[in-house]
Amino acid sequence: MWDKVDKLSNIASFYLERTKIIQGNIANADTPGYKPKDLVFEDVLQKTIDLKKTDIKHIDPEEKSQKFKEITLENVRGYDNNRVDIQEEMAKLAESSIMYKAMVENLKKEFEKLKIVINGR
Amino acid sequence: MLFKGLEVSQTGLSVQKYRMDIISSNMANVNSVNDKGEPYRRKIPVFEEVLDAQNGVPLSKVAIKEVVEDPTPFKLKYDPSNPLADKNGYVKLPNIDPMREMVDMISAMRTYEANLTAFNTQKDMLTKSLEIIKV
Repeated sequence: MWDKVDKLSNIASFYLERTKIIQGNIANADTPGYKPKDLVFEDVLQKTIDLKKTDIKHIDPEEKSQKFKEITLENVRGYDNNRVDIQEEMAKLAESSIMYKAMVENLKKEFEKLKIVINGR
Repeated sequence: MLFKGLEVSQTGLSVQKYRMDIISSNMANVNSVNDKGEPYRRKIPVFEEVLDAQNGVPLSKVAIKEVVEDPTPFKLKYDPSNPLADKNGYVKLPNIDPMREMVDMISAMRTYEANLTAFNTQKDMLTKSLEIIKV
């Protein structure tokens, strides 16, 4: 019964964590030698959505990886060896935020459905 | 834990505010000498990353590491009537270029705004999650 709620809240918490990482990147936009960080989604996707391989070109869902993985991007920009691209970070921030809100909307819908079932109308 | 994101952006806001204070101090002292008669040296804040790991997710706060002095030579101005002039009539003035300070100020302001946007985004997200309870 709570399967879908669990999946949605997993994805929502992923985006919440990712937003925090991006905020760290923005806060360090002027720190010498700082390398921006990011979280990757693939593993969460694999764990939360039942993937079936129906085509040879599909990615194998059996590949294992950690739940939250940090990747350090290697951009070569900036004179003080700082690699934060503020435009890119702002775009990622907006994306994360919108995806989080979408997941929350989905969760609300899920609870509304359960409520309808419980109330029997 | 929940409000760590807000803390991260808040450190970003604080350091940019501090940087703005340093720039103001540089601008204000564009013609100053200290009590030993030496000109004011331009000050530069240096930031550093402060790692704050939470459940294996590394959050990068930011802090002021140090404030260094700009080692570039002082500006020389020919002004023989000045009591601080050397025997050739030249006076040493602080190594501050108001244009460069203005550019730094705009840069600090923009980064401050970016941090503020990040702060508000995180705040909106947290407020949004309260809507689940209203169902």
